[in-house]
Amino acid sequence: MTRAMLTGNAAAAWGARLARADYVPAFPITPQTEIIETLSRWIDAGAMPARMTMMESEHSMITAAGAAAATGVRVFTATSSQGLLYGLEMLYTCAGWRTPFVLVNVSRGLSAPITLEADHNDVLAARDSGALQLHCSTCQEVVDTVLMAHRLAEHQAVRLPVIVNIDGFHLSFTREPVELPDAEAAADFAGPFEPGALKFRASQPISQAVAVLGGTPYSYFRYEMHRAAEAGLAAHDAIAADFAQRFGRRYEAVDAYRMDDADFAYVMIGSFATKARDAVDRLRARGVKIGLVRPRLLRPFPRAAIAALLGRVRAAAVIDQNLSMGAGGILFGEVAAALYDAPARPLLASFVGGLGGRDIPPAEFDAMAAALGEAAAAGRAPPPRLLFTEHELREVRKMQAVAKVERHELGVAP
Amino acid sequence: MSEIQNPAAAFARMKDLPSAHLLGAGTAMCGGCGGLMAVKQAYDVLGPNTVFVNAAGCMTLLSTYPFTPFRGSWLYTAMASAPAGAQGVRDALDILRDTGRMKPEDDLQVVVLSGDGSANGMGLSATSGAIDRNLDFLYLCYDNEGYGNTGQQTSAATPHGAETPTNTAARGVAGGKKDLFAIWAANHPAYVATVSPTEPLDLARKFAKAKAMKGPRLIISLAPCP
Repeated sequence: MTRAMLTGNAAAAWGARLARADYVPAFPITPQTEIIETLSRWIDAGAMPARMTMMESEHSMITAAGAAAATGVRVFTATSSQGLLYGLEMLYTCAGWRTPFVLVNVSRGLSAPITLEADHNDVLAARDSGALQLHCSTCQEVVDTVLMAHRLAEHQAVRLPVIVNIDGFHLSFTREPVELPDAEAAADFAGPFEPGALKFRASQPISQAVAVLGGTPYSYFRYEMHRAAEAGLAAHDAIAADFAQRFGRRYEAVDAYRMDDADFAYVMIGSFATKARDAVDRLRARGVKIGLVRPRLLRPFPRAAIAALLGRVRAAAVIDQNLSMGAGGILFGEVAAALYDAPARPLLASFVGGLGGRDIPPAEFDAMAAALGEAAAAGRAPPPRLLFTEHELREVRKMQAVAKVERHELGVAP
Repeated sequence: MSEIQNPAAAFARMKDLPSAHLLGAGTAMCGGCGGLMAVKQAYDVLGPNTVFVNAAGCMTLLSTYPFTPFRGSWLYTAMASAPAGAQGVRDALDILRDTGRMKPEDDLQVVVLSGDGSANGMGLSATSGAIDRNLDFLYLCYDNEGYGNTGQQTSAATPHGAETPTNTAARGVAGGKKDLFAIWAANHPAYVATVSPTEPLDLARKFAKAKAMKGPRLIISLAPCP
């Protein structure tokens, strides 16, 4: 076991190296590029026995990933934002092929307007693809999760792609101390790639990814995918338990922080959940009994674990770093659905923040906690809120004023 | 080139053509399908140690669950990325062979099968990438000069002036047929050829020649719909 200071991107590359991925189809996109550059350097230096192929698009990259997995090798790939959307057709397709591979998505806000920093609308666009989703909040978690994700994807009851999500900039470019599992121990944990019947060999001809006509076979295969994704819950827990036994770090499908005696809770995914964790400690010091519920697994959705944790609190704030236009925070809707038939339900407040890398400062976590207190006292949940300060609005008004003056200078303004 | 070295020399006369009929009958293709005729003839020369990587088109319905007409292997991808699928399969086979996880005799010839719609349009970026990477694959494009599967709407391979369901005015298609052959040739692939299933000897010779080569190889078959 070695300790190193690693960025989230380097941690993701280490996860693929430790899992002994055979094949890396790649295409660069900010803020993912460091992952494929790191892997390329290792492969070229002979430190990692794998092959990398630079593709001409993410659509082709994901096609190659699925096709290689369908031929019988362990595949790792990575993308972000527009790249994920460009390749989304093939993510759905490869999930339908039941090909196991791991894709790291380095979250970044979607165009338009085009931007670089993180939010989760990109990865949530893949929510219904059939690919499983794991969300990380620290660099240590990234290494460990990428390693575990290969086993989850390849689990005989699952056989689906797995997306490991890390937030662009906040996690991809942040250096943290990371304990790297020993290479031999990691290889032993990952095991050899078992293609089963899914492979192309001259002596075992097979037609894969064939068409179906009519709703009956289509429904059958789609239901099978759903059941396989649901089986990912038990598979995840078993793999995480094995990982904990071998490496001493335990990961739950839903990470609960100071929830044992909590009256209130934040519900968040990703790296910004570390800010919520910090807020929990700060508010606890002031006597506010608040905790953090952080789903790591988003597909399959760990409904029961979330309902059990939130059933104990009076009010919970779901903080979405995404926005479904015309509906609101996506995680909020999912959490609300998970709680609907729970025996005990908290009041649920929806907050949308952190879009495009916008910070959620401590004061806002305090304000959200205060809103939960008021909701509990009033017995009524507050309406959904989009986090944005008067100061920010003033900044945007200044930009608009500058834009107007510039247009006037060019003679195009009315 | 001596007789032994020239794989095309195996087909001197019509009676030299293989009678293997590797492609099964009873598919969903139209009776008299030109594309199917080309695939059938090509398959007998290529042999069963072939994996077809298919782009969306009529031929996608060749393998419809639970049936397949192929003695060898098949992978349907999508309309835009069959050459990328070929890349993934080829790379994986290389990895398996080079690491001793697959016997050399289990190796396969990787063949992209697409219509003119994908080959000249949506799939051209993936094709271009595969040529750039010197991918070892054969590309069979059956060209029926339109989006045949959906009713012969105008594709990039529809000739100038043609009347199609999406060009019904008197002047027909304003553009001209894209020169896919020239696009490939300009990028110096291992092989580029045109064939027609009405000339089976020529077709067999060209597929035999292409089969013996490495690198990107394109064979376009003019394949009119019945």
